[in-house]
Amino acid sequence: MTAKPHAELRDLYHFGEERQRAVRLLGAIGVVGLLLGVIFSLFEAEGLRRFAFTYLVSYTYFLSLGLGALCLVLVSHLTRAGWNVVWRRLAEILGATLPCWALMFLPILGFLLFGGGMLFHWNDPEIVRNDPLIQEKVPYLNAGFFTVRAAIYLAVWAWLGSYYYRNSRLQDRSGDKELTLRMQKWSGPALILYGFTVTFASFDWMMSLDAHWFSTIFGIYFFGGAVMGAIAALILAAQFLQHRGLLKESITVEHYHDLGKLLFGFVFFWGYIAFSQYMLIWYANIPEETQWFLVRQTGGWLGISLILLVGHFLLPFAGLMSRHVRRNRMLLAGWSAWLLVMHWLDLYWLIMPQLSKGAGPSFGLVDLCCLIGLGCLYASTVLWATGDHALIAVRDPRLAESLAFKNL
Amino acid sequence: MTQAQDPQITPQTKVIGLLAEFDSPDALLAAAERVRGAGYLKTDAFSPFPIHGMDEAMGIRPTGLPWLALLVGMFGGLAGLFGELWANSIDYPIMVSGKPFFSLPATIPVSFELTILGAGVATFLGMLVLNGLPRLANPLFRKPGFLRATTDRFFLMIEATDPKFDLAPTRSLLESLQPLGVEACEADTSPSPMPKFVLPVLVLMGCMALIPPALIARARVTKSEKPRFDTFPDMDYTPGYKAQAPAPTNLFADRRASRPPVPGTVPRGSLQDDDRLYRGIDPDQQTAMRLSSQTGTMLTSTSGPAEEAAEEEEIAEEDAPDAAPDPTDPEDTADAPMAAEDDEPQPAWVTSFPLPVTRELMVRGRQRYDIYCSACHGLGGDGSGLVSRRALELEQGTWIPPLSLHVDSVLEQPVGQLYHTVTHGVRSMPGYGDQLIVEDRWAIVLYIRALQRSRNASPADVPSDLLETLRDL
Repeated sequence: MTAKPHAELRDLYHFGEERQRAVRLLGAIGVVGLLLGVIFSLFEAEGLRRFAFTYLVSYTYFLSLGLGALCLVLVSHLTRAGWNVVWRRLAEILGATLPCWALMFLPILGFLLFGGGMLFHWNDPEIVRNDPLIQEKVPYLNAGFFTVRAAIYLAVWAWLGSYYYRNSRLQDRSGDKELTLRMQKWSGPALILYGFTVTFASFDWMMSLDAHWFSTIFGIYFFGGAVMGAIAALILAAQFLQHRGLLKESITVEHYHDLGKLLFGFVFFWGYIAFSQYMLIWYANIPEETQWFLVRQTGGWLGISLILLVGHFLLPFAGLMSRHVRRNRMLLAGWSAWLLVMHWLDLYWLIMPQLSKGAGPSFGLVDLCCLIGLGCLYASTVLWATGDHALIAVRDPRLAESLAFKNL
Repeated sequence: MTQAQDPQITPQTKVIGLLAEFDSPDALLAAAERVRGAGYLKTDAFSPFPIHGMDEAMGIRPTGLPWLALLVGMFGGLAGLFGELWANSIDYPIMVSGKPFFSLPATIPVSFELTILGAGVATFLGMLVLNGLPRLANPLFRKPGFLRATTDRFFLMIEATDPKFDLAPTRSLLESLQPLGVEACEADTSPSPMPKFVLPVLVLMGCMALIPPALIARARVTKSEKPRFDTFPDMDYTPGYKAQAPAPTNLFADRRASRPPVPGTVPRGSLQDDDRLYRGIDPDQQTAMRLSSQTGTMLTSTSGPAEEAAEEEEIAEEDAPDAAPDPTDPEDTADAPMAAEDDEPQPAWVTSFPLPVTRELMVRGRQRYDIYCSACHGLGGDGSGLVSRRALELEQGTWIPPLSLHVDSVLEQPVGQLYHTVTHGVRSMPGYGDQLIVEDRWAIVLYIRALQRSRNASPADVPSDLLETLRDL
């Protein structure tokens, strides 16, 4: 037992009236943005194909925030963590967007089922006929099995996201400690499911864009970026709420300090995994594997790769190393925003070079509309999932411990 | 002050601090805050586990340990980088799989591990040093009951070296914090001479520790006629059989470790009964030739046995002593055996390819030729390969330039003979039979034929659509 917690919740923890309006407004902007993106794409050289790719970038970006948050929720239950109860509800809300976000996968499925090889070139019968390597992969890479797998991933995430949010809210009303134990009991199996689904989803949705290329570490790479993005999003969300006068005293500099440590850790984890992936391929120097990096090291993509190396790893690693930075709200928020941008760039770098090999990076109206559109829809989803529920797990048995949490 | 048991040694004790005992971490935390508030700086707290907020309560400031870890970690990383730079690219440059001598990705794992090692070791050792550890004896451990600090008791000590320390007021301060008890902690400062036996034992142990190194040192500088001592004889002399060596056991009567094939059997893939394909010889004509040559031998007894090539060569050299006066002269040695070979009766070489001539075979032949042959014979087959040119530049005198493939003597050779040459070599050219499979050897022969024809091609040989482009050139 540590020192007995002696803090009590004294904060505002409900959104006001304006939430409803924001949900509708953001949703409307999102739909308009997406429609504009489709219209603009018709005037582009690549047509709808460009929209499909850029939609996939934005989709996986916001999906990864929900997935990363879900992982944080599962891990905090698995480890019986007490310190993070004050912000766990925020992660639960991000995870609760996953059912909605499963619906947002439908356009991608549409591109697959009705667009032939528009998005996934292994779905183009013409390409497969002339490609013995893809022919070997057809038993796995075919539209039917792909759809079944995607349905499984999305169903698992939607179920996990809503299960943990629902039970946590039930506890808000009943204060039943059994709920905590039940959520803890299922967190282990849930994490196993989570690991498999996230790995294979990243294989299916991003790695298979180049059906020749393979990297067994790819799933962890995506996972590392996703958790980092989720932590950054949580830091910003908490600061946003505090700015609006909610949870003002519950989340203290001590919690930010630990979130900063996690952020720092996952910045390095991402770099470690990214380098592990790169080095093995670089060292073995097998054309089948190196061609993926070759595309990203030629022309304008080299610049993006270097920006990722510096901006996604070296700079934030050095910047977040000091505890003074991690205990400074403004600096921590700055790094979080920076890393959220880098995380988007990372997914852009994973997906967009497959749009047209040899062409450099480009960011146009289509990409902007799609990013803003999906971003607004995501924000709308988050606020909708928040509902009128408490923004903090008000009757969690470890809440008092979390409120009194100190790093030293 | 305790009563002296032994009148000869008077124990001298000194109060080193006051120790207060508490039963909960909260009480300890509150007490530490109060004591600090009272102005005491040299305090210490003991608890079975880390207590959050304790550092703050006691006023412990952050140490320089993170900086030490950072510095030593960076030093480790740089040492890793420099070590690899020095070893792989300066002191002993080795090209590994075509990478540059110093390539950053390859050095990162080692540098990374050394960074972690440096930071880890610096943190551990720095922590020990900053905490004044290791300490052989701590007077606190003599306090009965203090050991409960590792299970369920919490202690706060105010050290006597604190400038504000004064036995009575400090004790009353501690007692005001509702402890379970306050005790003075005393250190035994009486002189305690070392027992007499310690020094001789230490010296003796030191001397004994020198024996093994001394034995090793002696063994390294003396010579012995005796056979080596086998620690593990069954590992030094294994019963396993080694190729081309006598078997160490009598399992086989002839004690050969490498066993010949069972008589009357052929290993898989070794039948090679197609003479045309595997040896480039037409068996029907060969039989006919042998019959006629035997007849010829019977008729003209002047010529020696035709099959003995060695004898033939000797005869050839004897016949033309002027042509080869100096066997070290490269040009002459190149010519002499050729002259001998001309006299040699040739087997019945096949004159057509024993496998289908396809475009794939030609492409394969070109690729194999460029890999295996062009180094000496040149890409065009005129003997201007890089190896040959370099060897001639060095002018060492032992190099025999390869024959141009476009001279008449080669042009006239049937494909079977070219195949034989690729397989077994000729004159100073080594055979490539061990490196090239049969089909590839034929592919090379096919490509040589194409090269030869290219030197004597007519416009009719060129496809009509390509002819136009040639004219433009």
